[in-house]
Amino acid sequence: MLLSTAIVAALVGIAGVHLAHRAKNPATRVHLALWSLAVIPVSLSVCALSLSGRFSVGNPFCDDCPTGTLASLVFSFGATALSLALLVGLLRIALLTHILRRGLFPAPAHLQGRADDLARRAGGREVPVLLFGSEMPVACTWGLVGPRVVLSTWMVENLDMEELEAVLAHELAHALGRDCPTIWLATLLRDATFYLPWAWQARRAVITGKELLADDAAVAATGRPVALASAIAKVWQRSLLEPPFPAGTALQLSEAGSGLQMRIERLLGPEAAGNERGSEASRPVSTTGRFGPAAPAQLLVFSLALVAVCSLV
Amino acid sequence: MGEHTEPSAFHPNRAGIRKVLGDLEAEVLELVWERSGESGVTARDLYEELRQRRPIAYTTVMTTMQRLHKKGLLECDRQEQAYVYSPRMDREQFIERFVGRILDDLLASFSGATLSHLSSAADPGERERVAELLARIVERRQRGEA
Repeated sequence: MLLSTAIVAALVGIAGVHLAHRAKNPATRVHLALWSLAVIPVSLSVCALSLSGRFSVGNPFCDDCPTGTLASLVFSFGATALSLALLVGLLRIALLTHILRRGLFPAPAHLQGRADDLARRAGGREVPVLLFGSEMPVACTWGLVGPRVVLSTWMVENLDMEELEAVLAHELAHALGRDCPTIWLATLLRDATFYLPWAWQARRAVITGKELLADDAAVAATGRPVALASAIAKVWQRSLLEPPFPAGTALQLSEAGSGLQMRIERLLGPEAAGNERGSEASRPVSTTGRFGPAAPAQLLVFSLALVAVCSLV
Repeated sequence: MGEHTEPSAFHPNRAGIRKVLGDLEAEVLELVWERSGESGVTARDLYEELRQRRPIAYTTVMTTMQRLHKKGLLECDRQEQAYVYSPRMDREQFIERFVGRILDDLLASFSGATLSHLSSAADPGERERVAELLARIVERRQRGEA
């Protein structure tokens, strides 16, 4: 039963990643990718619990099936993997905090004022904007709790005000959409599944989906898709000369693997123009597509069903 | 044949082979390459062609060809009463030579920075894609699109 659950969960995960990469709607892309990442650990946990007798979804036709040793082994192995992934995740946060805390200073009043204005229009709380002196092109949202927008001085010196405002709106969308915890969770699940290729793909799909949603939110808030495309292109160009910042769990504007060319083309295309028109109705700056409160329950039910079906095999 | 003087000046803002040659030198060399299928060209041949484009003195063309010969870019043979010039290397060989020379010089003077930039330029296609996108964006912003 354990093996069949693992195989079926893996197949579901791979299919989910495939569908996520093909999904046109960024929110669907994020949702499917997160499901794909979570389905194996959750299903195997349910299966192990079931086999160990602590949780009954066992095979109703097989009362004498061997339980105990194997289940304990799987349970211990899974718990160790998850603990290690959690440790690595916490270390990443500590390292990033250490790097970013050195030399951070508050943004000038006009920049913070613009960010506050955008946040107010979105109906969200004000998000602190911090700067740090660097020739690297950095714009990121950082912090699992109480996120902050961090910009390097290169951004302020090399982007014009329209581009900078679009970047702020993009980063605010991440902050107000609580995207950092989602990416952290996706990274943790990727680590917990021992960096299987599909887990990398799934995490990348989550990041791409989040970036697309933040792009849409920024366009809706500012009505300037070309300015955002310009900012991303400038950051991309600069990143080719200056290696990008090791963001870890922070979400960067030019996140590696988020399909920068695709995002720019999308912002220059008719789809972005549609979003721009949406801005007239003062659409809020927020991203959807995160793991909502109902998702863990859905996943648990799905895993229970999966294990129950596999126990019949 | 005497000692050759290699092109020594580098003008990064100029196009093509004008980065290492003067305007007239570049024009003359281009014409010699165009006629490289022939057995050679004389200063008179090039003068006749150049004067159709703009007013130019025969002596200017002759001096320029002599300078290119001194730089090792043209061969010079005396045939009867005239000097006949032919290219010592084709365009690709010339570009390869001056690119190599510039890179050698940069590596000798600033090895770390040069190597760092060369490694970051590992995907020249990516740079071209960004440059092309930025050009499109600038054009659209100039048209007043936000």
